[in-house]
Amino acid sequence: MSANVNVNLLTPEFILAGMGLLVLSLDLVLPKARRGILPWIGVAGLIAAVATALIYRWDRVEELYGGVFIADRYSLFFFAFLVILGGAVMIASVDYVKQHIKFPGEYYGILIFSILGMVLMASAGELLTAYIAMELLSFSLYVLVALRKYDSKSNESAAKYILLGAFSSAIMLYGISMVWGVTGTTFYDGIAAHLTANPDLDIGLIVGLSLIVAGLGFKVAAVPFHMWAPDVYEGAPTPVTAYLAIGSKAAAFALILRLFSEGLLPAIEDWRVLIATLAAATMVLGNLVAIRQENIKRMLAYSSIGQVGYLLLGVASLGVVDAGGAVVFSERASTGIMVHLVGYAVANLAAFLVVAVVYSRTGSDQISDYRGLAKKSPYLSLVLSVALFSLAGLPFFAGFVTKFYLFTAGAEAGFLWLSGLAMVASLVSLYYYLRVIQRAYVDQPSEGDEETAVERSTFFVPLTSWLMLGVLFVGMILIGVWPTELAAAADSASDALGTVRDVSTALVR
Amino acid sequence: MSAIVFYVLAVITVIGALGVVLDRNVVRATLSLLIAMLGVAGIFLVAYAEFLALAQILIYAGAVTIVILFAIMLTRTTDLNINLDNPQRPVAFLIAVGVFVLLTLTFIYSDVPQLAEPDSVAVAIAESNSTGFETVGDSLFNQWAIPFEIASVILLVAMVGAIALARGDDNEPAVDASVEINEVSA
Amino acid sequence: MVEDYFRQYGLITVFAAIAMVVPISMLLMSWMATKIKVRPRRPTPVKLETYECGYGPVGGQWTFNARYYTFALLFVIFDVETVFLYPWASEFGVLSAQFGVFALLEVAVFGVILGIGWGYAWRKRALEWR
Repeated sequence: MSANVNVNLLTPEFILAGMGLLVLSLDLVLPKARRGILPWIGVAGLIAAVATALIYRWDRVEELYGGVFIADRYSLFFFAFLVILGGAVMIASVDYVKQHIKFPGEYYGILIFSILGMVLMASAGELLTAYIAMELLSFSLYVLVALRKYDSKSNESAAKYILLGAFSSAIMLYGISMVWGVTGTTFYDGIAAHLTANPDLDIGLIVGLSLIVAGLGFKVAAVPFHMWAPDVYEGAPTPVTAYLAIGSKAAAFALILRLFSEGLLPAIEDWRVLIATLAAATMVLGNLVAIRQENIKRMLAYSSIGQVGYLLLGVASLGVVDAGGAVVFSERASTGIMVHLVGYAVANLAAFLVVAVVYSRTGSDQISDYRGLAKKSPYLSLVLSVALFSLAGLPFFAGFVTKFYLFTAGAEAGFLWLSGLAMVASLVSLYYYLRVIQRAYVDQPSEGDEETAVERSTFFVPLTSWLMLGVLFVGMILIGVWPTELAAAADSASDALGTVRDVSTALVR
Repeated sequence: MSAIVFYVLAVITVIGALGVVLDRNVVRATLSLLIAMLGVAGIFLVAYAEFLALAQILIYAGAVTIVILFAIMLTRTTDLNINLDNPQRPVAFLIAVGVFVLLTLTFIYSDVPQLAEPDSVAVAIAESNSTGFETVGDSLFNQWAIPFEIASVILLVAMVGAIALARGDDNEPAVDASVEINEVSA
Repeated sequence: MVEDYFRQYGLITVFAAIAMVVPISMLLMSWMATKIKVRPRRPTPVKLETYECGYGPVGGQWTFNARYYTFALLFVIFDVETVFLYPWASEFGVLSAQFGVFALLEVAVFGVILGIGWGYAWRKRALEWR
């Protein structure tokens, strides 16, 4: 198509953008009664995009525009993961949107655009592209959070999210400008080359990188940049909360992982302790504050802050300095992060979907209103328990395996104390997860027996949610019992991060 | 010469920015913001970035300030019983001063090659008496085509979100409009 | 030559300076006139009232229709679009020589994406005045 750039490589991204536009335009022409098919059109498009990407990019390693966009196994892994994740969120929100949100076309269209933003965050090889992709994700999320516009809590959380989101974007952009000022480049490999050539960091570079870390810290809600998370999570529509907790974090970690391993790895000695401190503070504070929460969305918000702590542990252990003083990229750590992201996403989505279904029935998100859930709906409480056990990291569920990968990688990189702390934090999390499960199974429903009988008959789970919960349930068990395939995929993605890309043939066409 | 111009503009910008933060009257704060934006546009000109100066005036000084003024007009002041004095004010002041000192020290001690001298390409363009839009166009549509296209999607999301959220009445338009279209097409 | 660059913008600065000096000097002269007792100053409550078409202002602050705000937002978004289009237009000759149709397609994609946004605004009746 173009003189020197193979734009066909971007076909999957174009499919995503086209699907977003299609869903948005269909909403304008379809009669209101037929708008139920919008999410399914969207899901079909997402499947097409994943299939195209897998077929077309399976063995390709290419860069566009000298590294603005990178197509490799890592991008492919996150393309598949993030698009499937977005599709799952889309299916999971079908019932909720029908009941509570007046703008189905906008909801699904913007959801697809945000997936496009996430995917580009993972494949950007350069700070500005990564930043603008992150802005696409953030803008979409600002709108999605606010879509219940007659709900004052949704308004409050949207206002907080927009203000803090814009603030953190500005901080990050300022950091990028300082990094560019010192290194003269925004490309990850250029930054790495600069760091290798100048082992003593310039103070401008230190401040710039700290600002970038702070900006990204806001996006993933790492302590001390986490304050917005519980309020925003509580007020947002529940499927959007799930998406915030999973999608935006996974995408931000995709960006962080590529930035830190391809750009900042040579200076690992300078930032690993900082990141490890952030990780320790995040996992301790997130898990301790979660104990006190009475609202389940707030509890899950704090628990997801805790999970960010574990993931940061992986980031801190991304490299080891060998005997010769050279920095060696630790594939175990990056594999651990990716595997844990997948396990965390599946379990958290299941938990939030249960919360959404319960909210549709009871109109409440209080943990005390979960009492007797096992009697009212055995299926819901089973999936909820498995999800919470998986988040806590009990054996046979996804969380155990993925945490095992992550914590051993941390211990190998010399962060034994941090891995130990992470295990203690997991035990703490088990305590507050068990409180919910106790409410569901042990506590009796507060109403009289007749009322319960009535409630049980009305407490049905909509079909779409029922099926989605089933898929997630199987996913959690499957990852827990048989994680080899997932680990292999993450391994080959890590390989792509660790090796220098050979793209000499791909650039000019 | 350009150093003197820069410092004059910098003082104007800082005065405008301080006005935004310190003035209790929102309309006056907005006008201070306008001054700060114009000051920044001037600084872009000193750095030979004419396109940026134009965009700054067109978007920030023109459009954004107007949107802020509209937002102020739409808000009933009687609705706002918010106490502007908040106990965290001294803390915020300390943090702001701390960040200021840190950044100043950073720029004094940092070895920033990009800031040491004006970009030779930009100077050459300014000397050749052209606007430099060609260079912007070239890099925007060649090297940075992907971010450019992402920007259009961001604008679309912003537009859809703004309309969906700011529209006063949700019930009739969507329903009526689609019904009409169906009748016409049928 | 660099002097030329500064001279052009210096002219704008002179313009801006005159634009500011004229109204300020008017106010200043009026103030001076009171000081040297040429103009008497005898304020009464009626004189100090905000002037609006001859009547005293009635009622509180006017609340604008939210519709104005939608227009302002749309204006900002299309303003940004214009800013992007300008360098493309001024560079088009070079770009099309270099890339052929691609130079056009690139902006066509941009235009289509925002065109759908415009269509959305139209269909949702955000552009109508009711």
